Amino acid sequence: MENRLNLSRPRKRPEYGKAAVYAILVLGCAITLAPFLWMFLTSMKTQVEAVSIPPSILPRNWRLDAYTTLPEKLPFFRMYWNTILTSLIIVAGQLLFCSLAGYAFARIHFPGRGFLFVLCLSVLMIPSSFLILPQYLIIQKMGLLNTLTAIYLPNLFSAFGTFLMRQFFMSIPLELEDAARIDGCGHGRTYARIMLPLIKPGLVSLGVLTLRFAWNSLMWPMIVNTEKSKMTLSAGLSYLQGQYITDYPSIMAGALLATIPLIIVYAIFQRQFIEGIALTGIK
Amino acid sequence: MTGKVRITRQKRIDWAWGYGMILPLLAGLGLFYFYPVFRVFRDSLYNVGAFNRSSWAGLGNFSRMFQDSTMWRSLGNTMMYAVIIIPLTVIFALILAALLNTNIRGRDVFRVIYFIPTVTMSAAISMVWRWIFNGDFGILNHLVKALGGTPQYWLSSESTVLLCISVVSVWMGVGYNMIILLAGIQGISSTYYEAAELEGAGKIQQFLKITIPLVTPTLFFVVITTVISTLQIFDVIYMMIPTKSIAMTYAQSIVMYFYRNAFEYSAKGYASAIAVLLFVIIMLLTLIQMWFQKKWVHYD
Amino acid sequence: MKKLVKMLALLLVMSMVLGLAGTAAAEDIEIHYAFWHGALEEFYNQCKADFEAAHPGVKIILEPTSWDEYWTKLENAATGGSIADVFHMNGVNIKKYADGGVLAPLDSLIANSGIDLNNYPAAMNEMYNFNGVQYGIPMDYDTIGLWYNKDLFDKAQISYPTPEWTWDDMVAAAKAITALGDGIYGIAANYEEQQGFYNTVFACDGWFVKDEQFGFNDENTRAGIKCWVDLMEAGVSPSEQSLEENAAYLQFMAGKLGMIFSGDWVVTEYASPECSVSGVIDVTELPLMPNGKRATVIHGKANCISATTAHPDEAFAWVSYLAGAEANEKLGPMGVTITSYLAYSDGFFEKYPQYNMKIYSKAAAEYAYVYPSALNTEWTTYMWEELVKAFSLQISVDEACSNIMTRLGQ
Repeated sequence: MENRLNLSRPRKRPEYGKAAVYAILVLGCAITLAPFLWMFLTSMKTQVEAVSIPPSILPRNWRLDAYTTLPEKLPFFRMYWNTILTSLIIVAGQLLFCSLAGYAFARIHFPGRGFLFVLCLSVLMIPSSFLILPQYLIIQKMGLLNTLTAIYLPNLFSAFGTFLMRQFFMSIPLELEDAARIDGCGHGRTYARIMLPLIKPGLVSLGVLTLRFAWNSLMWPMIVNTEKSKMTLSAGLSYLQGQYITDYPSIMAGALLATIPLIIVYAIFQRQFIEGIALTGIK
Repeated sequence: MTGKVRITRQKRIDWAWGYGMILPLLAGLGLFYFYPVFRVFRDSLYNVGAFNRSSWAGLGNFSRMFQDSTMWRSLGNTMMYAVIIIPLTVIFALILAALLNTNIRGRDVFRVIYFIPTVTMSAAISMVWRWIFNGDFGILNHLVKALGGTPQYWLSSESTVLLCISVVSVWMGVGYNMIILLAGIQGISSTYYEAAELEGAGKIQQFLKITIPLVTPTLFFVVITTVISTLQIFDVIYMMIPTKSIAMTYAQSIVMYFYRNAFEYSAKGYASAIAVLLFVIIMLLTLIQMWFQKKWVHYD
Repeated sequence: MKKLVKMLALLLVMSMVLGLAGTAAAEDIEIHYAFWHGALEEFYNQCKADFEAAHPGVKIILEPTSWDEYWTKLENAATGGSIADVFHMNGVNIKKYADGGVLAPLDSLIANSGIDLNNYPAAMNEMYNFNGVQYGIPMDYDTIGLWYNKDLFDKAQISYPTPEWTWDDMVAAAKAITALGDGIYGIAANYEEQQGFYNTVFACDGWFVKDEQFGFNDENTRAGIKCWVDLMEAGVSPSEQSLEENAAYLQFMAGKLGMIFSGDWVVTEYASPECSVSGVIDVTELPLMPNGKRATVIHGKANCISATTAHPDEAFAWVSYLAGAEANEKLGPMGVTITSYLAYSDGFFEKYPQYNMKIYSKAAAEYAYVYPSALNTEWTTYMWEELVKAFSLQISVDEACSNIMTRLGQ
């Protein structure tokens, strides 16, 4: 790739082209980041200043009130914990169940495999909001409304994840497995010792995708849990907005705090996030 | 003889492993996906009222649906979202991906920044946008005024509300699709470009003649996923438009209307009928795209 | 990598256990109490402490919910059998819940206890009586008053509102204040039910619901709505859109409104340091309508018990405590709400001596109408969807009212 671009250099007028590219990219960044900046600035103002006309761009006095009073309005730390816990369970559950099934579909021959796989794939066709009502009724029947279990239970199983895992397993050369076979490894050992390490990028990919889904999901947690102490952050924010409709600094502070953890995780595992997402499109 | 027995035994072990490994998944999918599908179709034929008291309705929910102007309006809105959001998201994502594929300085920084909306909680960022769009105190109107324009009640005017929701959705969706497309573009063999260089093709021509055709398989994936997610648009509307807003009629999507019927009006039978309609629409659109892909997707 | 699998499995199991541990039942009997009024939480915390001290072995679990979500969630919970043992009920929903068998009948429990319903306003008892059965004990009531910003009246050089004021006087004042310009308006005339046209409809001898029949074809009902839309047309109020995006009370608190119809509960906001005009505002009675009548709508919450509670006796003990003298004596002076226990109603006003709050109890005593409600709760949705178009000046009030009746099938 470097070669190609080096070739082009002498013939073109890169200054104009590059300047235009930069201009577009920088403008894009500004549009991307502006809401975050405004969220931060508003959260530092008082309620009165937030609704002053004309609006002040920078806070006249930088105040942390919106943050310090937030725990009184919302059990924020509890909600953090709920979100982290349910997200991790969903990620762990999907990685485990999907990779198990994905391996079986990719590598083990058993009667009805083709049919069962197509059956799983058929779930992909169903829009998720289509199922929310009966899923709710099932959780209700199980007596699980207002528990954290209700939030993660239906989300432990993913047809897409299974499909993705199968694709990764399929891409691994059969010889590797045959070698393991000759060494006397059963399916369990082959799966855990040989195959899983080989599809690590796939696991990361599914993990990232699932984490993002679980962290952000709004409708489901909002429906199944009515108690503040059992809410996830998204549902909590909807509560905050409903209750403190005009207290913009508090709402912005809540939004900021809810957003930051995943952005920090992203900042640390930036490469894995981006490559993980990128892989889902290629597989 | 002994050999045959051994093979059968091995097969049985294989089968046991195979079934054992897919069992947890199938059990979960069965309970939370297959049964619900059956249940939605069943419930769409019942009147399920307050506190789940139900009675047989036959096709009553469907005939009500076809006469329900709010339902048609929501369906129309959803189509408008699709028409606005899908092309904009895909085009912006493709342009950014192409620009980021050049060897400009700070490429990684741009990539990291563009991806941030993807990892941002949609409920949270929708609240921020709602605040930005606020008609009296919002920063957007302040900018509009400073530039000499007329301030608007963006989120409570029938003419602007759908556009605002679309802007936010595009803003949230571009980064994610950009990353997927970038990976697709990077997978294109550089020999194509080298050949084009020799023939004297410019950058834009290379983009149109090489990048776009060769990235179509990825583009197809991006389009399909964007279509499915856009037809189910909910979070942004729920967080930005209060139920009691004049603009709700002009903003609500089919999923929003489904949600309100299911959980606000407790008309669960009717909501199920709407869900069936949504299911049919998405199914049809996916099939059409599958068929249509032959015309424009190039697999080598 | 085997380790990774083990870790995943372990994490899954551990977190599930942790998740379940949170729900494990304690030894005590738990009474869950669901309510929406955020400002009451402090009061309930005190009540909870006192009640639990007096009733060892019973624990009260407070479940506050935002108003926006309360009813959706309560209904989900009622359907799912996970409804709180005791919960807030309002006048809009009482019939639906009583009819749906969600509420426990209280008559025999009341008869065997020390509760005397005569301690509460008759209109409030009536609100929570369905088909002759008492389902709730009133806990507070609200009426409506006219708040005004004296600063703006002074600037416009007009005199302050008085109890003798007519609607036309109010309109004239609104015009004078709007003429000040600078984004200031005379009054908030947006779509508001309890703090808006409900009051004028009753004052104009209009009506909403009688035995599941609706009154939107009645000229008097329409007159009570038209007077507001006229204000919108006259341009003396911020637009419906403006008031939708930024609530009227907030604009009043920011000094941008001369007058506003407000319930007594809003005083906690008006008197707070967040309110930039708290020193220059006051409240008086609603204006007289052209027929010489004045009316306020009265509404209030009640505590109801779930028909499916596992602990009816403990639940009723909690309701009795909240309905009794001890709790209400405390609630009054806290200044969050006007307690329905008439002997302590005035306690609320004492916290706000700077305002003429007594008009609220006068309104309740002299010209209060029960908040309209029907078994068919969809009528409020239709009313909102159609009338809001009239308030945003898209269609006429007559057209909107006819549409409502058509949609109601009447």
